[in-house]
Amino acid sequence: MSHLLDEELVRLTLQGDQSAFEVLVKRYEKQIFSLAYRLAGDYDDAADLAQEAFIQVYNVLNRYDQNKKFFSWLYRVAHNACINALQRRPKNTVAVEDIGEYLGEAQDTFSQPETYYTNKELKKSIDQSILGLPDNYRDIIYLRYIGDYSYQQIAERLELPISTVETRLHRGKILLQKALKQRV
Amino acid sequence: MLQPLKPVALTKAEGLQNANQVATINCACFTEKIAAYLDEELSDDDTACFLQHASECSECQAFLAEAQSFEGQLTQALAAVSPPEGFAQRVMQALPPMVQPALEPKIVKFPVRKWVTGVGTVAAAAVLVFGISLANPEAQLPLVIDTPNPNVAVVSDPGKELTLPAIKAAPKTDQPVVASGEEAQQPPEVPAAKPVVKTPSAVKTQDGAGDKATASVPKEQPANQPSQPANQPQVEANGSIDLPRAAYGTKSEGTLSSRLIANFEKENIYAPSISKDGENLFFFTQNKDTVYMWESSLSNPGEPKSIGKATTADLDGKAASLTCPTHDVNTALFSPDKIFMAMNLRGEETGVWVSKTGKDDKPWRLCGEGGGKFLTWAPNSSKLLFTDDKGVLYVGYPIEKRIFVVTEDVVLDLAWSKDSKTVALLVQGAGKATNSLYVVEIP
Repeated sequence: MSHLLDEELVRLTLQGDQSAFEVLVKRYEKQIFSLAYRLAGDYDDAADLAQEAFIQVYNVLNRYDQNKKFFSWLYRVAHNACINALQRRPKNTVAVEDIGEYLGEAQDTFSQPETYYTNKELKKSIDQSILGLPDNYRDIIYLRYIGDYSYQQIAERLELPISTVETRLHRGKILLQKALKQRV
Repeated sequence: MLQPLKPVALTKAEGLQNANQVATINCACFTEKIAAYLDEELSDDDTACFLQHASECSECQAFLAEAQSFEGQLTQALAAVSPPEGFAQRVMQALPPMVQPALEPKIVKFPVRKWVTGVGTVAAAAVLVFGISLANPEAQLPLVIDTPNPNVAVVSDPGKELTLPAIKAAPKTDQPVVASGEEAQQPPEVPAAKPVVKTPSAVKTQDGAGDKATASVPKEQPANQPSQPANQPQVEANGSIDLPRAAYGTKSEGTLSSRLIANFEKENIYAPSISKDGENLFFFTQNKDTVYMWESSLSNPGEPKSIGKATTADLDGKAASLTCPTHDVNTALFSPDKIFMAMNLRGEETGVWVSKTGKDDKPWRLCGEGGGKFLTWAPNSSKLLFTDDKGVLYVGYPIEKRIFVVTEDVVLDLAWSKDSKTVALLVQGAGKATNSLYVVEIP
């Protein structure tokens, strides 16, 4: 079943075949987990968030428009699910005795708390900026950076000439950079 | 700090200058190639040209450095993080058992106990004048068999690939085509609607998936063929129709093969039934007080024949009107085990009447509710569903002589499960624009 296209797997899932959805989960777990990790900033929280995101995707799968690219739709639904889940959660509190450990973790990763915060915010901003891109640019950015597809693979998946992929990727990045500049 | 990529607009002079240099790309081309270069998607030759230009153009060099910086940030920000081991299984275990459709739960009014009292006045005539032939369940009417009327309007070749023709707003013509090789017969005594011949028109699917035009083109009538008498069905060849959306949350998928059997104007077509051997389709039409029975061969489509007629006076001196059922439901139906005969009548004798076949017992009125277009037996013959003139759906138990209300919503279609325990209902809720599909357990 793993050879089936996303759209076919969606159809099978809607017909009650949960194993088809499992293929989709395995196909995109890395991307969605990464998204959750960027938003949550914590590995364990990311696992919970990503799980909630996939459940939400499953629950609204019947709203997926097969004329659109599945990954773009999946990513958008998952992003919204993560944001909503984060908003529902109580603000993180750290016990006094854990502060040292917490700071230690942060400082292990980033030399300065300010840098830690800036990077975390930057990641969120990048996600939000990508979501704001026009479809034809966003799909390609997703596939290239989140899906880790080659130009050839993107061209085949989107049925576009490689030159178009190249051009859109270039222009998409310009748009993304402009959008980021406005946010940061 | 993030810097936007610099849009490059080459002046004419710059372009010429670059064109005279060794590099085969200019600044504009360089800019376009940056993304591919950073993604290592350039060929060796292109990479060489790209780098050569970068070494010779300080402005592009700086631009490349900015782009590399942004690429690094982007890559880092979007870097993939592997989920924990067994993440997919964890997700699957947490899933709800089924995809939940976004329909509001519906409480079907069942059972509402509604005992039906005695038989009362037995309208035996309602059954008897129908001339039920126990030996031949298909022959439900006391038909006066005429010479089969072969007048047929064949408008296209049976094998031709067509989409389903539109039934509404078909243009009229007085020049239908008569099937070759058939002799014209006298038209029925009661002139009725003239046949129509379809021209290309559109069929819109329920989910708005798009319009399709029919491809049927009426043939010209041969000079030696008689004109089509009135009251003849129109026949078209095989076609297909996009599957409509069955319920919220489903997608249209594929096409159904379809064939228009007949199309009468100003007349009711009702009571279609298919013979046991699956060879023939029977149906009736009614014009004023005359009822015609038609037969169409399913293996040889396109030739429905009038095989009989009767007047409503023959049917019932009290002129019990026949309703217009659709699908496989009928106004007068044998139970699948052939033990019972049920009729859904309206008029003075409104109600569902049941009789035992092969017995002298008089038919009894199961209930005074009835007169709707649906009447269908459960496959095990233990109960039947029917509607009244308001569309309320009931389930009736002929032996126990009682009925229950199933739903008061407008029923558009229904189907029994093979085990006679479940019914699928397509209903239109009051004041709602959308249809809903339900499954109801009926003990």
